[in-house]
Amino acid sequence: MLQNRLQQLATNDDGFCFDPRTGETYQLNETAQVLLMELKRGRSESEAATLLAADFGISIHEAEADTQEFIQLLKMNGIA
Amino acid sequence: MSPSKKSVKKYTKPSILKLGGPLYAKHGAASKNSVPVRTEIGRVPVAQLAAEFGSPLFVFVEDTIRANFRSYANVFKRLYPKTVFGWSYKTNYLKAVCAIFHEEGAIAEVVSDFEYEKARALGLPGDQIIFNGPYKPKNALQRAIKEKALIHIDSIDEIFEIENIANSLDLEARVGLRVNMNTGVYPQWSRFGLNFETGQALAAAKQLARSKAIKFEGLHCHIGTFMLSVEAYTIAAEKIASLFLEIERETGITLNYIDMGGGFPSKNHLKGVYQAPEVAVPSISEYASAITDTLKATFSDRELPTLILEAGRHLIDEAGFLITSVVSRKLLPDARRAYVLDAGVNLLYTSTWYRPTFELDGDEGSFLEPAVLFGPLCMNIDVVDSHLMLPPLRVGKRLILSPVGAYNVTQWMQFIQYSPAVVLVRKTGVVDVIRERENLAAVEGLERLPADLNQTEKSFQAQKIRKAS
Ligand SMILES: Cc1ncc(COP(=O)(O)O)c(C=O)c1O
Repeated sequence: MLQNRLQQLATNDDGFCFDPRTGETYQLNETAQVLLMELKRGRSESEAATLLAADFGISIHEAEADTQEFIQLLKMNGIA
Repeated sequence: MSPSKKSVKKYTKPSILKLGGPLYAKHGAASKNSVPVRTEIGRVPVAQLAAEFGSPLFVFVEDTIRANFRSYANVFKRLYPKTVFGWSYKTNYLKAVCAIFHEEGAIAEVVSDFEYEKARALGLPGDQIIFNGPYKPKNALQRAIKEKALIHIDSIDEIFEIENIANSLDLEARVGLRVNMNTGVYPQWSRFGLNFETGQALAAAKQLARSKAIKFEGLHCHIGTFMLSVEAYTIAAEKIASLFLEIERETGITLNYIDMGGGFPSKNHLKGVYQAPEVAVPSISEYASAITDTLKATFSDRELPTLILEAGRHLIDEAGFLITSVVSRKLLPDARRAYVLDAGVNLLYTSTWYRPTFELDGDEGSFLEPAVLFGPLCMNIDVVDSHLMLPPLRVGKRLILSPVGAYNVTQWMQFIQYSPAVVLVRKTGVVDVIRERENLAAVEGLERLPADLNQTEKSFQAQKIRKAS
């Protein structure tokens, strides 16, 4: 499950992220850090998007598209 | 997408970069260097320009054009007062641009009947036009001879043609000879004019000197474009000056000018040159010294010939900007970020050889990711840049590309998309449209639809009904 997988990641406040399963390291920007934190907490994709929209005052459509794309990026990077 | 009241945070698209991964290795990490920001062009806000005139948009700055011309002209005039400046039309022949150069004192350098007509239509007298090029149609030559334009010979056949026309008009044609030569630079532009080293240029000169129909006035060369070698100009000046003296010696005629063409680089980034333009591009003073020192040394014991120049890109490139906007974004299968812009290779002919600077119209932070910029054409080749580091951008974000003032608004393609408007920021800060955005009527203006193929919506509908029944 995505949440379990993400919970294995070690992250710090600078957006630095280490995946102990693969040994890879990543750099996240601020928005990605917010999303990763919410997903780690077990929020669903749409809950995370709603939070993002509220937090940054962007449209829910943009937030949903970006959240979806972020998860896609996690997959492409072998994290999720 | 207007920010809600409680939110003050600026939104950035989420992004993640694998450190040490292939993209990272190839392009560097999320960098501390942010992408340069440009909020104004010629003191007019980019946002205002785009809102008023649309995107994409070419923007030229009158102050920059004039300042570029003046500093260049002053450098040459100081070293060599007998300098005449020509403006190379093909570099940018928008009327407003040519008019500014003419107002600054430049004559016209044209290379076709079309460009010749443009110069005349702008009110320039024929005797202030230099007519170059490998193909000058007969009626253009007739007009040029009648109007006393200076015609630069490209081939022996052209000499015969000009003699015939001049004889039939009972006029004398004003003529110079274009010479090509080895200046140690590759590629050698040997296809224009007649060659120095093989003696073809001297032979042609003798033919010109003998002709009763021709007033042979001087020599011309244009050794290449974006010439980073100052030395090449020294060699060219030495060769053309020695030919000048040899022609006078051997034929007894008096020549009065040497035209060294153009080719001086702008502060653009030629692909394959790894230094920044600020380092790679010599100053105009270096070129000016190379040329004028050589001429002064060669003609030390006699009257100096007039020096003619025909610079193009050096004078206009940096005065031109292209505003373009992100219309969509996507992830490529290799996790690279891609953007579709509203301007592509249709507008950026020079992007094949030169890599412009990309600026953003606002700060988007220093988290940079590798990005590919695609243009709007439904063509795989429409790639504006394939390895840029950019912050994550939202749709609508504007990028400003420069320098793009030379050879783009002339060589852009009428292909798939309408060409954008071109505006000029005036000295006063007023912005004038100097070319309207294309529309259907303008693009189809020269098309003719045979009457029997001219169907109306009604007849298409009737056809549909016929087929269906
Ligand atoms: C004959 C001639 N003169 C002048 C120029 C202007 O060249 P540039 O823009 O490199 O200064 C050109 C351009 O190719 C040219 O063909």
